[in-house]
Amino acid sequence: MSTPSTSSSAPSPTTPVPTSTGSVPPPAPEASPGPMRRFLRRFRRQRLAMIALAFLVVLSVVAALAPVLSPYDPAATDVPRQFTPPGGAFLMGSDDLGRDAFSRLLYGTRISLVAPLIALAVAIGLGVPFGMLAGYVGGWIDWLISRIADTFMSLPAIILAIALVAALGPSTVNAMVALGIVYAPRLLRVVRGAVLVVREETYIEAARSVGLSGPRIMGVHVLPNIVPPIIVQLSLMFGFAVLAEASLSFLGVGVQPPDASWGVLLRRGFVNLYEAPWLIVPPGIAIMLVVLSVQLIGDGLRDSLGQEIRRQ
Amino acid sequence: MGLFLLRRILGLFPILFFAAMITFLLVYLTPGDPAIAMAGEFATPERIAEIRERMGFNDPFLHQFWSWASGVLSGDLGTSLFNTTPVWDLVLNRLPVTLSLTLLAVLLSVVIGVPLGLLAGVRQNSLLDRVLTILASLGIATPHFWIGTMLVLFLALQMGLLPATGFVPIRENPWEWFLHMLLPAIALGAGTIAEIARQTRSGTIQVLERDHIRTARAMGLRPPAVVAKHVVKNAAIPVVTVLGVQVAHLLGGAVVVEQVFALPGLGQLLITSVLQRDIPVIQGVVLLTAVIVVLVSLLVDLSYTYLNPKVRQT
Amino acid sequence: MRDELASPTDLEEGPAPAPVPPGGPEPVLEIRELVVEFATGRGYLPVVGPVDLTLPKGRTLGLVGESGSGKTVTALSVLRLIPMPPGRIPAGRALFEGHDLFSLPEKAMSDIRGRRIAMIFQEPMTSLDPAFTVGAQISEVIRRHKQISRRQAWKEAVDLLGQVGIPSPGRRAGHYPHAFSGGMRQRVMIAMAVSCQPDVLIADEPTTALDVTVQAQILDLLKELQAELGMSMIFVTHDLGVVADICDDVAVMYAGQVVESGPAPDLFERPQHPYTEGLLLSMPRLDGERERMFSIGGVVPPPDRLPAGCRFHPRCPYSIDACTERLPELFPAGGPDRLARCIRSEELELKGTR
Repeated sequence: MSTPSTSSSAPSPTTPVPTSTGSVPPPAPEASPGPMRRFLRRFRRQRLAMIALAFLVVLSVVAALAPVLSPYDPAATDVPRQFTPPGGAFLMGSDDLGRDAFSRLLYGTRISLVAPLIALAVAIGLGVPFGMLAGYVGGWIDWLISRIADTFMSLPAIILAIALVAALGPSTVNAMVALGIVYAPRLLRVVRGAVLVVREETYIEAARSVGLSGPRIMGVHVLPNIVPPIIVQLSLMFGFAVLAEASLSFLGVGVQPPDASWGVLLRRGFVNLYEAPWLIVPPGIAIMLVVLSVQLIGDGLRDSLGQEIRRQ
Repeated sequence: MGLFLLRRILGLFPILFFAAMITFLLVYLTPGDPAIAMAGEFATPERIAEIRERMGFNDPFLHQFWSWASGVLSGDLGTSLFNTTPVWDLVLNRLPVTLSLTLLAVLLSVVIGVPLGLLAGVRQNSLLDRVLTILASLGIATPHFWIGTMLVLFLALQMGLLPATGFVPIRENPWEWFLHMLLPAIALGAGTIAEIARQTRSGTIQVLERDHIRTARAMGLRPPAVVAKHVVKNAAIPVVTVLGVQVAHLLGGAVVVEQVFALPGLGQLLITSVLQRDIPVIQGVVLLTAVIVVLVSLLVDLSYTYLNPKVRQT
Repeated sequence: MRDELASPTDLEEGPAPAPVPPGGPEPVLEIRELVVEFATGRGYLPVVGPVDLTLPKGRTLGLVGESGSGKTVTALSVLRLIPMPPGRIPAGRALFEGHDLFSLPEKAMSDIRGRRIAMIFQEPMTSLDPAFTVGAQISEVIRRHKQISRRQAWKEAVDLLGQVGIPSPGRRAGHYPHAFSGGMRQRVMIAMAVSCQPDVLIADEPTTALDVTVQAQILDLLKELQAELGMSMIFVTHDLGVVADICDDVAVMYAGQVVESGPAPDLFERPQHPYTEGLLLSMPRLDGERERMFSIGGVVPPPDRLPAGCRFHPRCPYSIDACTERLPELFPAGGPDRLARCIRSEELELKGTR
């Protein structure tokens, strides 16, 4: 679902008419932020992705301004006015304790957008170093790390996260750390793959011949060039993490009350389904929109990345 | 082909080994003394000692692992801390529910996803294609328990078309079993249907551009025949791959969907065990899931040999 | 060879007649004023045309040119295999057995494909379905056009494999394409194409991707089958050596149009168009007559950047100012059954292969 990018040459008829294009191949990339900047510039041209990014930015602003925008204190209970349908005093209705659903939704944005970042941080902290190690060094280290990564990947994410939370104790941070551990292998795979490609580039050979040490090469030369695929994977992971946090909180093993993420709101909505069916609709739609935006951004990033590869 | 199979099976052992290790290590992740954690808040010293003895915490680490692992290999997954039922029995009791839910979701995703993907791929960029693409993105982005709840809300509660909760074993009454499983399977499978449709669509588009499709047309074969035979078989491999990966995802999702529809499956077992800190049961469920996923990936590899004849020779 | 005279035409008016090779046989396929267009960013652009070709029964017509000449597009358009979008055929007729192929409904067209007119392609490696056995693929074609049982179709497939020179056909029919070499796969394709004894076989550079020794074998096979089945062939190629080997008549194409045509031996001896002369001169010779390889300077112009007047004039060593004024018609030149698209063909003494 991405928009085609504009190209500078006139499009030629498709097969079976071969035409001479006489184009000159672009120069080889250097070991510098060059590819990164080109990648970002190309990304800006993807319209759908930019709209999605704008939406997320707006949402983040809303989250930050939640105290200003909420008509009620999200924790303020008003039991006599419990289960009020949407409209009137309560824009989206009230829940079983008389709390305003709209205010809870706005405040919930904070946790639902920030908590997944913890998971991503853990995933990066585990996945990137080990992925680089596996890809660059190879050999039995690669085999060992890859097997362990494969193992983690054969355990369903939610189940492993639940088990880890069981061991560590239920709390928001623990649940996010568990998710990060669960996602790290997937990131590791991508990092490893990217390193395998970059490793064969001539500038790495050049760096090696000059006598630079392994870690230095990895940090200075390899790392900047594998950033684009990592960013693509992270954007997709963010979407999964949002869904996973919602699932875990829905089950009661994620974010713990009184903190209220969208997942927690969904749980309350489910529990009170008979009395207040309106409660579960907004959080679900919110999650759907966020994940959809993240998907579109990921697609846009991937297309920009694809063109980068094609140019090379 | 036998050699291929053998090599694949051998490759699974390291994974199973590591899975066992990880499952086993779960116990030791608990901060502090695991025995105390397992005993719970109101534990007496006797209970703690009992747990310690039963779980073998007094033994050296490798010894513990070995006794647990050998137990597993002979079918003994330990005993639940709470009702002294063997874990294996508990798990086996719940397995059919989760398995049938997952299998039904897989079936739905193939039966609905593949034809839709084929249609979208054959009529690329048509209105149908665009609509399907959007629906697919929505399907992947929406939490399945939310879809499930919405389905319950509208189809079960408001319209009374289908039952909202409960499970009927297939042996008792196949029709009732199906009715009770249908909504959960749709909720669970929504994301997978979308993924399969997507993958089928892109596979179809790719295959249609290939030379041998042009040859088929040049020999007079008509589009329905071409698509049904040649496109499907050639586009199948990535679709089957995606399906294999999705099974792991589905098992995880089943845990959540079972809560929504009050199905007595592994999910419920897992949640209760988590709340009760019943580690042996948790270990049992996690390990079993890993085994299922690994077996499924083996099946997927086997299917490759049928779908891609070149593989048979490797 | 010269009993049939070209119809008297005033060189200044009216369209030139299609090349009508001698020998009397009725044409089995005639292409009239074919135009093929492709969609580009700036609307539809003609890529081929107008083109007129005639294929007499039982003979082989060679369609020669560099890449970009439009020969493959012309060949594909006969069976309407041009992807539409982005292509389209806004004008022209393809007459076969009294019907215009371009105005047939799709179903009738698919009945003709493989059964009355068949086609083989350039890339044997990718032109067969890797997921099905060769026997299955040939049987599938047979059963599409004939109402026979699976077992019967399989038998016929095995027979065909034997006829095209595949050893142990009974066993090999159960093998997949990847178990065959390039030359063998091309034989399989040929088997598929002739399975229903078509009247016309269109071959689009079938030997280009094969190595030289295999090339000769495939050409021999095609000649054999043609004699046996009485097929007429259109043979698309850029290799004049192949043309000399297998073609009775030749049409030389450049930038989407026929620039010269006539019987092969005559065309080789006495070319009437500078482009043909250039092609002949570029053929490598083993008898050491030339010291350096000759090639025609420049490249084939793309359809959106055609020169004014004669399309070849920028690369032509004989061009004069008059060549830039208008696009020449195909005039009879050098003989009753010869045509050339050059205003100077009468006065120029072009070098042939003797």
